[in-house]
Amino acid sequence: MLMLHKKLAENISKKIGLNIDEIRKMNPSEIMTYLENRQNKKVLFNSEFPFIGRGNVLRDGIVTSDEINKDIDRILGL
Amino acid sequence: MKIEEVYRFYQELVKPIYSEIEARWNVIPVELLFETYASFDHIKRFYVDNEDEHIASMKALSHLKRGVLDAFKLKLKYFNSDIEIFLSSNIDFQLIDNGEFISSFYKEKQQIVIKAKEARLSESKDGKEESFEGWFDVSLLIDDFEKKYFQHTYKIDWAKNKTFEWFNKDLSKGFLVGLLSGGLSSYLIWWITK
Repeated sequence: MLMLHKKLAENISKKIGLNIDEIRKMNPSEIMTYLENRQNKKVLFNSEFPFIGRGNVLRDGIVTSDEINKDIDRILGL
Repeated sequence: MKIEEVYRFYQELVKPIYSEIEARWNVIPVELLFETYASFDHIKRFYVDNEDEHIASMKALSHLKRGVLDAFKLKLKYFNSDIEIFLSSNIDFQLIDNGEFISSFYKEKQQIVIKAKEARLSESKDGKEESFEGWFDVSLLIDDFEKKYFQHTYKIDWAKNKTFEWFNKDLSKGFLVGLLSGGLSSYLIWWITK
């Protein structure tokens, strides 16, 4: 099974201020409340479409993976 | 494959990596959440619609993997935006460490782009799983880069002050030279035509 890189787990833990087991055990609402209290700012939802999110039925059309990856390829000069 | 493996992947990777994106600005993109929604739907097909567990698990896992890869790409996108903002300031970065700072800044940024290209290409060549290691490396390089160039701002603040100071000096000099030459030429014209 794929495992999260140890150093990456440490970095995420430092950024969030919780150890990695706490992040894994807390439910999404608890994480959200924790972040809101920590930064004194509400957690909001945004859309990064069409940069990510293909075939999302909540959107107007189905976008292929190729189209979605265009933006990342532009950044990488591919 | 069993449904349990889907949950293990969720626990191991989805939660920490989604939380990292969420903690950045206290914003989470709905597209990432949609992948877990789609994954949940495949799990339902095993429990409610009698679909084969292996097929349902594979499809559910595929959505979660896509979500994690999207999160890595978002991290790269945010990094790219930070670089653009950083470089669009009027600070003369050549002043820091005799130009070494900006030179290594570009070199290390380029290393991230090279690694991300490799990860991106392995994604399309070998399937998603193999590209995760590549994206882990990219993510770590971004963390190191941000720590080195964006978090220790004392050198940048110093260069900012110096750039401003020099800009003001040059502006004052220019103003003085303009004033003197204007006065001198007016005097010469007056002297010639008197």
